[in-house]
Amino acid sequence: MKSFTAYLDSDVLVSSCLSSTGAANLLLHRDNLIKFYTNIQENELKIVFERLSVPSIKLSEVLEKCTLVTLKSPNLNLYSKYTIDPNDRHIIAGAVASGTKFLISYNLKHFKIESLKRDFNINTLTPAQFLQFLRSTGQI
Amino acid sequence: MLSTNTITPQAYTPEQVANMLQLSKNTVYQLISNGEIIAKKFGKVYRISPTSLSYLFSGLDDDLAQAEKNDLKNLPLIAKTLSDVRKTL
Repeated sequence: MKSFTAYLDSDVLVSSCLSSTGAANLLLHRDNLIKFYTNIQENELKIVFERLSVPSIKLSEVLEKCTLVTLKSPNLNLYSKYTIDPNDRHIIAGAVASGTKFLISYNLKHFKIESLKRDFNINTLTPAQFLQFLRSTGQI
Repeated sequence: MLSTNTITPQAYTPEQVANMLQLSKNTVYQLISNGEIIAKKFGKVYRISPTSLSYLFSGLDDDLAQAEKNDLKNLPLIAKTLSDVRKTL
C-alpha cells in the first residue's frame, strides 16, 4: 500500500493532544502516513504547550509520531506571498522543504491555497479533508 | 407565520437523494443495501436521515465531520495561543 506524506501545521499537532476524538488525533495515529514538522515548530510548540498547561511529555509523544525536518536559517521572505500573516511563513517553508504534496492545517484562511498549489504543487487541507482523501484512495 | 418551504426535511426519500447526488434511483438503493447510505425502512419505503448524507453537505463522511467538530471546539484557544507565541519568536 502506498504511503502518503503530509506536513502538519502546529495547530494540528496541538489539536491532536487536546482532543482524543478529533480529526487531528485520528490523523496523527495513521501509521501508513509520514508526518513532518520542523525544528522551528518544535520551539513554538514547547511554549504553546506550557501556556496551555499541557504536560511536555504529551509534546514528546506527538513528535515521536512525526519526522523532523530541520530548517537552517531559512529565507522566510521567499514565502511571504503565500500567507497573509508573516508569522506563518515558517509553516510554508517547512512544507516546501519536506517535499510533501499536503499541508494539513486548521488555518486555511491565512494561506494562499491557490498559489501554494500552483507554485509548489502543495494541497492545503484540514485533517478531516485529508482523512476523507485517504479514504477515497482506499488507504483507510 | 413560518413558510413550510424553509423547513429542512427530517428525512429524505431515496428519489430525493438520487437527485441530490446525481445518481440513479437504483444506485441509491444499491448504496442502501451495501450500507454505504444508512436508511431506515418503514414498511415498504426507505427514509434517509440528513446525517447519513453528511458528505453531500460538508464534503466529509459523518464520522469525519464529527471528528472535525470535536477539534473545532478547542481551535479558538489554540489559534490565539499560537498566534501570540509566533509574535514573540
